[in-house]
Parts: sequence; structure tokens; C-alpha cells
Amino acid sequence: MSGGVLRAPLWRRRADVAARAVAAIGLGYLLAALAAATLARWLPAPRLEATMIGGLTSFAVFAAVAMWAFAARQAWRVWAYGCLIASGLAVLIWLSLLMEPRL
Amino acid sequence: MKGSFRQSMAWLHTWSGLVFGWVLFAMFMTGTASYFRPEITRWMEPETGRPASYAQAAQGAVAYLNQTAPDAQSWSITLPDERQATARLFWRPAPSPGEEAPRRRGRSENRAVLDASTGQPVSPRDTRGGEFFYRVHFQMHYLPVLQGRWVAGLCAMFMLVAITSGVVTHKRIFKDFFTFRPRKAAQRSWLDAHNLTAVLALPFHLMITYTGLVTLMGLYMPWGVTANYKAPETYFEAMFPRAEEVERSGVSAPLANLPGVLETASEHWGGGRPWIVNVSNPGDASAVIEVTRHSGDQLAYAGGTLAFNGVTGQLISATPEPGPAVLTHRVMYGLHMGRFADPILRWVYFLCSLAGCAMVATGLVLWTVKRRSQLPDPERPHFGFRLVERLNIGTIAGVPAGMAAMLWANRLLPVGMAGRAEWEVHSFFIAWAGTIAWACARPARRAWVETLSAAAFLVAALPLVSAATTSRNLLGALLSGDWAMVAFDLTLLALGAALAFCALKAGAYRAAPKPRRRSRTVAAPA
Amino acid sequence: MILTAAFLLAFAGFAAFCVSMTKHQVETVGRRLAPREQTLAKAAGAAGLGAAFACAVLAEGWRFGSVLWSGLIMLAALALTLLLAYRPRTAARFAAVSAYFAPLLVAAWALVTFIEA
Repeated sequence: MSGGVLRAPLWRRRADVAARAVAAIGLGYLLAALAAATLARWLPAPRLEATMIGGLTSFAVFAAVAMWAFAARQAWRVWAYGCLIASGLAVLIWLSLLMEPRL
Repeated sequence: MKGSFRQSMAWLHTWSGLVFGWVLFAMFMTGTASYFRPEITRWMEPETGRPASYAQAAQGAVAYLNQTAPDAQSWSITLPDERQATARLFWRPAPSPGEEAPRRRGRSENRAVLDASTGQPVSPRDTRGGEFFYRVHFQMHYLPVLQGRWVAGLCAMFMLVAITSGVVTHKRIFKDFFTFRPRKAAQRSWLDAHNLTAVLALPFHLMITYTGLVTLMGLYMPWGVTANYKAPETYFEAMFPRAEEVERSGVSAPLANLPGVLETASEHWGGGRPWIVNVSNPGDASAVIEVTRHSGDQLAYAGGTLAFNGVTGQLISATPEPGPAVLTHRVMYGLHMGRFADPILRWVYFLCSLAGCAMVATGLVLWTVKRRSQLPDPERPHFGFRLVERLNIGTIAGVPAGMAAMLWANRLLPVGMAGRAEWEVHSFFIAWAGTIAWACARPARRAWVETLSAAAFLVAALPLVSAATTSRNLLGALLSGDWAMVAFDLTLLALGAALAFCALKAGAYRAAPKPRRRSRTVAAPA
Repeated sequence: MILTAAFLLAFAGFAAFCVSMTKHQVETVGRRLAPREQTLAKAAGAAGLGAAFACAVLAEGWRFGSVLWSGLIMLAALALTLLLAYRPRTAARFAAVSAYFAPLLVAAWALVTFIEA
């Protein structure tokens, strides 16, 4: 942390870190879970295989989101883009469920 | 975070490492010990004998079960491998007419532990054995199992984040590849030590962290399953196919020769070892023998199960080969467990894992070393600094001390004591908490020396304690060629020596000439 | 025997890599190396690690061998770095001795395996 945030009052710095930490854990988990489900639904592989690939990749997604949450210039961007991506994934899952029900 | 990408990653690395560091250190230490889980169990059950062939153990198990539970609904036999001295049995008694079949696995009256070579029941002292270290490293203790696993998962997740952000932070991975300058200023040499243990064993750390998360994927990331299956059971049936249960026919027939069946199974697997034997409807014409392969036979942590006709001993069915993604999952699981490892590879695993402990420990110490030089008054640090420093001392010395204390308790608590196994476990946490309390009460440098010395003593004295209280001792093990137990005692001595070395280093430290550079040069516990 | 050879080859290989780096040359071999020598050292390093891989695979097969190799080279690098910090000359000498004895060990292993077969 340097520059503007560092010179900001203490409570703003704390709020910034808190926003990022919650994004890293909460949004990270949400995106990882949605990515796992999307891959499980959309990968052109047998269901069990696709489910596995989704699960195995999800932890990398979490790590990437957590790093992004702390690397982004402003915390609100992470939340904004994160929620956007999350809704996109949710729509994809919903579409695939319309086309083909669960086993 | 303003500032460069690398700066923000350095910040993330520092703080995720610190917040989760103490639990991670305990997870790494107990996980490292878990590579020797069967050996620790053998050591903690001195009443048990020596490993023997699975065929011998199977014979003894069938004889015992035929006598004790001939009309059970099913038998389950966990055969010993070359590292275990006992076969573990349980059986499900036949349901009385009108009663719903008991679903839960056998209670204690339906269990037995048999000596691998004689087939006679043994009653080892009440202990969790190496199982405790294994369990605590992924589900904690004093917490409900699932909550504990979530705590471990959160820590592991941030271990992964700390590793990846650490790689970004480290500017000179290749330039500093072989660099360790123990005689430089404290901050420099601690950073070198942290980089050294992290970078040189990086493939191991990444592997162990990622695969650790994968082992509990079903708990942490069930969403792919939810998206594809209405009921989790459908998924489990696809993932772990099982033979249908058969009704008892009521026509009695003798059970096929089990060692013969095991030999057929082993041939089918090209020399693979049988591990778990399930017999349903023993003594009945409809009997089925299911043999599961030892999970340490291949990289993939899944043996595959063969079903045999329980009377003729003929092969009925085999579990199908998994697809590539399922196989990948099992290989990742297997890499984490390392059960396939022969003794040499197991030691390689153990040493890499110790490097992981050292990485976490040096990282924790580095946090204080870096900040000490920036304190307004190094003699009177602020509360946060003191807290971190005390927790560092109490955990880095306290976890090994606690692990040793548990082994002490295993030897010293009366054999017939009620709740004995639980008190062994309590002694682990009492010793750890005691070390933290001691670290809080003493000046930091003295506390390092004293707690590390105490840990060294607790670890190194164990062979003596064992020799004084049980039949397990170094000389006896040497004379009878029980190399696993010889190695166990020697390893304890070596670990004790390593801790003593750390204590000496901590004691030999002289304040650096510049007062602003006050810090210790303690080597991390090996 | 062959696994000892694998470890020694990995150790020698990393030592060669280390010698190819300017910052470690004086403390290990006592002088700066010419650019050609540096390239040669790098090639020797790669060869050492490759030979170690071959040994591990010969001993344990592809699957277990590659896992064992990954573990062995990590430990070899750790051992080299620790030795380098306290006794750089010894590290260089030990690497030379390793490079010399490892092929002998492999040959002995091959002979024993051949006789047994």
C-alpha cells in the first residue's frame, strides 16, 4: 500500500483492507463455485468427468480472485466486475439447466 | 491498493502468511508426521508385534470371525501392509427379525484388533496413535469435524494465495536460487532462509497445498456436483460404483479359501496388494467377497474393487476403469497422501515437508525481524508486535513440544485409565498452550532458548522414556532387526538434536553492533 | 545404489548451474569463467539433472520415478545451497566427486542387474 490510500485516514485504510479481504474470501469463493458449476455443465465431456474438471480448477480460480482483490487499484472495482462475472456465469448455468435437466 | 502489482502482492503475501501462519505451521508439522502414520501407531501401541504377510493375517482373521461372528450380515477386514502389525476387523451382526438393518458401522463390541502374524486378538492401550496427527492436520480438534475441515480449508486456500503472491513478490528467483548468507544482517539471512526453503521446494509446496484442497473437494466445492446431479447419491454411485447387496439365501455353504481368493486378486492386479476385504453373508450360499486394492499400489489413490463368489471363489466383477479427469483427481489425492512411496521416497516426502515447516517458521520470524528495526523503541515494542513475537515462539517451539508431550503421555498415563486416548490428545494442546504462556511470561530471547531447549529435551528423551516404561527400546529393536522402530528412535534423537541446535543458535546470538538491527539469528527448527 | 547415483547427479547438475552463475564463481572455483565455459557449465547442469531423471526412472519406472526425481532434485538443491553457504569450496569438490562416482554407481548397478537377470 502506498500513495493515496496510505495517506488516507486510518479508518479509510482499514475499510479498504476489509473490503478487499471480504472480496477475496467471499467473492473468491462465489466465483470459484460458479466456475466449477459452469465447467461441470458446459464442458463437452461425460458428466462425471466435467464435474471433476470443474472441481479441480475451482481452487485456482479462488487463488486468482483473491490475488486480484488485493492487486486491483480500487476495491469497488473488484466488487463491480466480480458481481458482473458472477451473474454472467449464473446465466450460463441457468441456460444449460433449461436445455438439459440434472441427472 | 495503489502502488505496483508487486507491492500489493508483497503486502498480501506478508499478511495472509502471518494471519494463517500459526495454524499452517501446526498443519504442516502434524501433516509431516503423518507420512509415518503407521510407524507412529506401532510405536504408540507397544503391545502389538511385527508386520506380517497379508495372507497370514487374512487366515487368522477368517478363523477369528468364523468363531466370533459366524452368522454376521457382513465382515470387514483391513489387512496389514508391510508397515502395520495388526489386522483390524469389524462385523455387522445379522439384524434380528423385524428389526431394520443397522446402518452404522460396527460399535466397539463389533470390533477386534488381531496380531498380524499370530491371528490372536491383541488389546493395545487406548490411543489414537498416528491417526491423531493425521486427523488434526486437516480437521483440527475441539471443533466439530466439518467446521474443523473448513478452518483447514481456509488456511490451505490462503497458503495457496501466499505461495502464488510470494512467487510474484520474489524479484530474483533464479538469480538468488542458490543464495543463503547466514552471516549477513539478520533481516537478509532470514529472508534468504525463507526464500531458500520456499523456492527450492516450491514444486512440493504447490503440489501439497493444491492437492490438499483437492482431497476435501467434495466438502469445499460440491457445486459442480449440485449442478449436474439432483441427488448427491447419484454422483457417489457414479464415482464409487459398488456391487449390489445380496439377500441371505438361508442355504449354508462354507466360505471359499480367503488366501486363495486374495492371491487371485493380486494376480489380477499384476502383483498389487489386497487391502480391505468385505465378506457379505459369510457361511451362506449367497456369500460375496469384495477385495479392495491397497491404495498405495499406484499413484492414483484408489485401489479398485474385485467381487468374488464367496463359495466358489470365482471372480464376478471388477470396478470399471475411471475416466481421465477422475483419474487425475485420484492421482492428485495419491500425491498428497504419498502412500505409494517406498521408504526412500517417503523420506524424500518427509524432508520436503520439513522444508515446508521451515518455510512457514522462517516466514513468521521474518515478519518480526523486518519490523523490529523500524520500531520507535525496540526495547518496548507495541502490543501487535509483542503478540506476534510471543505466538511465534509459542507455536514454533510449542507444536513440536506438544507432539512430543503426546508421545510422553502415551508412555506415562496408566494403561487402564478412563479416557486415556483423549488425555493423550489433551497433553498435546496443554503443552502447546503452556509453551505460549511461557513465551508470554519471559523476555523474548530467553523464551526462544528456553522453549526450544524444552522441546529438544522432550523429543530427544522419548527413546529413554519408552525404554523405561515398555518393551519398545532401541537396543531390542536393533537386535530383532525391527528397522522401522530403530529408525523411529533415531529420528527422534535427530529431531531433538536439530531443536537443540536451534536453541544453541538462539542463545549464541549477540546483539548486532548497530542498535537499530537488534534481532536474533535463530535457525528455524528443522 | 542407482538412487544414490541419481542424487549425486542432481547435486552435481545443480552445482554446474551454480558455477555458471557469475555471483557464485569466485567462491566455488576461485575465478571468473569465460562465456564459453559458462555455457558449458549450463549444459553440464542440464545433463546432470537429465541423467538423474533417467536413473530415477530406471529404478522406479515412469510414474514413481518422476515423482522421486522431483523430490530428489529439491533436496539436492537444498543440500547444495546449505553447503555452499558454509563451505563453498567443499561444495564444489563434492560436486566433482559426485560427477565422477555417479557413473561408476550406475555401471555397478547395471552389472548387478544384468547378473541377476
